[in-house]
Amino acid sequence: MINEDVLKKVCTLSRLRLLEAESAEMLDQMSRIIAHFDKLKEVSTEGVEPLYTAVEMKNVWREDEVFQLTTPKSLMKLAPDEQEGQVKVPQVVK
Amino acid sequence: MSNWDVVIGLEIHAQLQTDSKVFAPDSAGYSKHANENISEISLGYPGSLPTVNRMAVEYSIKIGLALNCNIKKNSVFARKHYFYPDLAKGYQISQFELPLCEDGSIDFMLDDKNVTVGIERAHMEEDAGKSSHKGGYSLIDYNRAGVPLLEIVSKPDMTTSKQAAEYARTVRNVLRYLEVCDGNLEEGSMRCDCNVSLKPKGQKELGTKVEIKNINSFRFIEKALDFEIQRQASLLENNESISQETRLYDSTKNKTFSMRSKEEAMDYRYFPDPDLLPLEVSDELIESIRKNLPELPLEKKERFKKDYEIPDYDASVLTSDKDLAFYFEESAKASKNPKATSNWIMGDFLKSLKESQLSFEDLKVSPKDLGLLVQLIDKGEISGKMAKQVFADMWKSGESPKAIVKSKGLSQISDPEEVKSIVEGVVSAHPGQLAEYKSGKNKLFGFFVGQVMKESKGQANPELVTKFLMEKLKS
Repeated sequence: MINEDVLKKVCTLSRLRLLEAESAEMLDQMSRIIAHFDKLKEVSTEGVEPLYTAVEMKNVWREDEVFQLTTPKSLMKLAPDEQEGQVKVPQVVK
Repeated sequence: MSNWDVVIGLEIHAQLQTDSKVFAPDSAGYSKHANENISEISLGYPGSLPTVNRMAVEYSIKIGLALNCNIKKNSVFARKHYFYPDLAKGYQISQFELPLCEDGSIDFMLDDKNVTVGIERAHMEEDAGKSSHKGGYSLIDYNRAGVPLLEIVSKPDMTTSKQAAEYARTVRNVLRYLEVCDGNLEEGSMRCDCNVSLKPKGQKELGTKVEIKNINSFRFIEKALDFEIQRQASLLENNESISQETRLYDSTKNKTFSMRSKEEAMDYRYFPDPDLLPLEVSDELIESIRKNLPELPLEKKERFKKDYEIPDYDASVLTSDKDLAFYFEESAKASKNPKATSNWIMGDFLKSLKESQLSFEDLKVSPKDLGLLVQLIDKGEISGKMAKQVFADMWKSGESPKAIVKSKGLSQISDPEEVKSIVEGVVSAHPGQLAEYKSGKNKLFGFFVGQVMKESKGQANPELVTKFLMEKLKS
C-alpha cells in the first residue's frame, strides 16, 4: 500500500523533493501502478521457472586484456566539474 | 560476558588480480593519476555495454572451490542501486539471488582446537571509485570503479573475536596460495566487514545485528569486535535495546561509532541486469579449475608433518604463508635436517624478517644457504652460537655461510687432538686454580671452559672442551 509515509520514504531514498500538489498526484499514480502489479500477481506462476533475460544467449565473455576504448581525457571533459583530475561533486558525507 | 552468546559473521571482499576490470577492458592496475583507467563502460555512459572478464569468473570459481563451495552452473548478475557518486551508473553490478558460489566451509586450528566456519555464499561484483571528502564538496577518482571483487560471506558461525580474526587470516592465506588476490588489508585489496550480535545464553533466536566496517588489520578485527561485544553487553545489561545499524571502527580511539541506522538503510532495488547475460559455467570448466588447484594450506601442513616429521605447531607456522612454506622446503632440502631448519626459520629467520620488514623477493639469504648453514652446525664445523653470528652476516651481505665462516676465521676446532692439547695447556698454566678445583671448588669448571675458549678464540668445539676438561680435571 502506498500512503503518505511510504511516499516520504521513497522520496528520501531517491533524493526527491516533491511539492504538495505533486505528492498528491504521485500518490495517485503510484497507487495505480501498484494496483496493476497486484493484478499481475493473480496469474498463477506455478511450475514456471523465473526468467532472467529475454535474450536467448549465454556467456558473452571477454578475455582479460587491457585496452582503451575512449581517451580518459575526452570522458573527463563531460564531467560536471573537475579538480586535480578528479570529478568534483556536491558534498556526499557530512 | 558469561550471560551472553556472541554470534559473529564476516563479509570479506577480495580484489581479484586480473589485468583488466570485470566488465570493461580498462586497466585494473594501480595508476599514479586519478581517472586514467576509465571508459564509457566503467562510467556507465548510456549505450555502453558491459561484458564479463573470463579470468575474473575463473578466479572466483577457484576461490569457491578452495572454500569447498558448490559452484552454481547458472548464476545471474544483478544491479544493486544506491545514490552515491563513487559509482557513476547509480548502481553496482553484483550478484543477488543466484550467486556463483554457495554452501562452503573452511577449517582452521585455534588454541589446539579445530574450528569449522561455514561459507554462506561468494558472489562476484565490481568495486566502486574512491571518494575524498573535502568539506563542502567531494572528489571522485574512478580508477577503481569496476575492479573485480569476490564477496565471501561466512555463516554466523563464530563466537569469539579471536575466531573471527583467525578465520580472516585463514581466508587470506587461501587467497594468497591461489595467487588470485594479494590479501592486503591495509591497502584494501582485501576488506573485512564484521557482523556481530548478542543473545541471552542458550537462546535460539538471534539478537539484533550490528555491522562494523572500516577495519584494516587482523588485530583491529579482534579489537573492534571486543569493543562492540562489550558495548552491546552493557546496553543489554541496562535493559537498553541494540539498534540495527552500520558502525565504523576508529582504530586511533579503539571505538566503533554509528555510520547509518536502519531507518536510513537503503533499499537497493536489486534486479537482474538486462545488460548482462546469465552466467553459465560448464562442468568441464569447473573440473579443469579443480584439477589445477594448487596445494592449499591445510594439505601442505599435513604433508609437512608427514614428509618432514615436524610437529604440528611447526607445520602450522611454516604453512601460514605460501612464500615461507616454499622457503622452508628449499632450505630443508639443502640441510637434510628439517626439524633444525624449521627451528632456524621460526627463530632467527622470522625475527630478522619481521624486523627488516622485507618481502621474500628482497631477501639476500637464499633458502639453500640457510640449509647449508644448518648443515655446517650438524657437521660440527661451527657451533650454534657461531651460526647465529654467521646468519646475521648472511642476512646483511647475502654471502654464503662457508664464505663468511672462512673470511671471519670462525670455523670450529673439532679435531679431538687439537682440542685436547689446548685443554691440557690451559690446565697446566693454572696450577693454583687446579688445586682449588680439586679441593672441591666445582664452580671453577666454568673458569677453565672460559680459558679454553679464550685460548681457541672461541672456536673450540664446546662438547669436546667439556669432555676433555672433565677427564683432565679428574685425573
